[in-house]
Amino acid sequence: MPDPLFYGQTLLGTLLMGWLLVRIFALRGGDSLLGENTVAGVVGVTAAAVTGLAVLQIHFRLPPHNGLDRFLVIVLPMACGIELVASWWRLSRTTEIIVRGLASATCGGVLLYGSVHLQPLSIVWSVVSLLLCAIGLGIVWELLSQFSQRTRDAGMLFALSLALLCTGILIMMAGYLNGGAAALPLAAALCGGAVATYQSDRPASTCGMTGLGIVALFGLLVIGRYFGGLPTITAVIVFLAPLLAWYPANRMCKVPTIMQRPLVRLCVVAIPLAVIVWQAKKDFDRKMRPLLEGPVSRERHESPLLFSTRHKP
Amino acid sequence: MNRIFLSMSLALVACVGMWIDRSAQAADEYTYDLVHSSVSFKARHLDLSWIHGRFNQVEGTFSIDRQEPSKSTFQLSIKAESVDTANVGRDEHLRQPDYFDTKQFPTIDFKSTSAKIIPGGYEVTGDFTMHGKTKPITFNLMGGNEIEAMSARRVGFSTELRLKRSDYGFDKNAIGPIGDEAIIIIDCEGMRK
Repeated sequence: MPDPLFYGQTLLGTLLMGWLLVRIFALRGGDSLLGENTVAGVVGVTAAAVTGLAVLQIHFRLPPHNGLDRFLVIVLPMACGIELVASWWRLSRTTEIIVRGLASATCGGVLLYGSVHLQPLSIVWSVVSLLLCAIGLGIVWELLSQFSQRTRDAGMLFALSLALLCTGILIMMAGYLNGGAAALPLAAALCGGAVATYQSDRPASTCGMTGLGIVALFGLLVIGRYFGGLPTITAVIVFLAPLLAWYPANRMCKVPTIMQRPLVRLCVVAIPLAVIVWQAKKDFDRKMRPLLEGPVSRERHESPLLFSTRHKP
Repeated sequence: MNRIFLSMSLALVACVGMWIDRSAQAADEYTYDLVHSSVSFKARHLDLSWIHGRFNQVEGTFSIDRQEPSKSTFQLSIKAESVDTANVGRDEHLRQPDYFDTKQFPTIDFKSTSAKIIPGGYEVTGDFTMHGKTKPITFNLMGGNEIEAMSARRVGFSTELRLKRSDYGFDKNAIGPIGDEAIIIIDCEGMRK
């Protein structure tokens, strides 16, 4: 069973490291402090997440053995590379869309490679699943990137961080401990990057960190859905929840300041996520009751008469 | 001349055919009888007691060569999804990637590579594949006597294997309360018409 204190310490450490690294890398950019310097965000968040994963002893195997290995070895570095290349070489909008589209098209196949979900017997279902995954990731990745470029605040990063944290908890409650644990350092590192961006006194480009966050969220949800016991509807709601950050902040708060906007967006995204986690916790408690309770307490539940007869004089 | 050549060729083909037929008849092919067989396992829980379970879906074939026992072959394929420990919640957990990862590795397979006769059975060596990792193992497969019952010829075997889950790439973090070593008990019947 996971040790909550150890997990908490690791997450806090990862968050601080993410915050510190993003600040340090951004400072090296001089005037471009968290401005156009997307590279700083991607490198800082990735380095912090990798450290957090190592502390939690979530190791990958080479060649990749299962879905989680492929996520850590192929999918995450691919997203990281795309966002770095896109920002470093300042790719044109069309090229960015094409590259992200190609990456989206391959992610599902990479994660499900060699599993029963890609068996020749269920070829139609496999193709439909992969198409839905590719279209879903492609559209959401592009929408969130556009949103990040337009708003230039930390709201989306906070939202993605919260969605990743909820994904981790949901996958763990579904029974896949390692898969869920892998989400936690990613959430903490992204939160560190979001705090660094939030503290910045100028508009920040969060496009790179957003891309990394959405691919991480997608990958973990696919692993949870197809290999763990995460229900489809839960995975879809959590994946789409960050889009709610698009909801205009001034509808929630009459005159939101630059500092208030990210928090308003976070609150909007938090509502469906909180409902989903609460529902999953109820299901988890119901499923775990027979495993955790001893035979005596089960007797109490199932046959109160038997229990009461013991106390008869 | 042609006639002699044709006759010789026909005789040669007939001899080869008879030889193939004879060697084919020498090995008896049996299929795994799911009704009268079981593949079960047990593992330590908290180092206090044993948790027992079984796999409900198993397929296999045995080829027993009575003349040359070293040519006998044994093959077994267990559907990991069919794990059953008499607790639905625990079974679901065992199917997860932390344990059997049944969506990635749907079967546990054994295929023999050599066999030799020992008193009361066979010493079988072969490749055991579990959780996507293959390792050679050797064990004593006791039994092998054939009887005729229920309109089929039947042969029975039993064995007990001790495996370390960590040898097969199971996650070390998931080994914790359940012991690393698992004992697999195979009692099976093969049948042929």
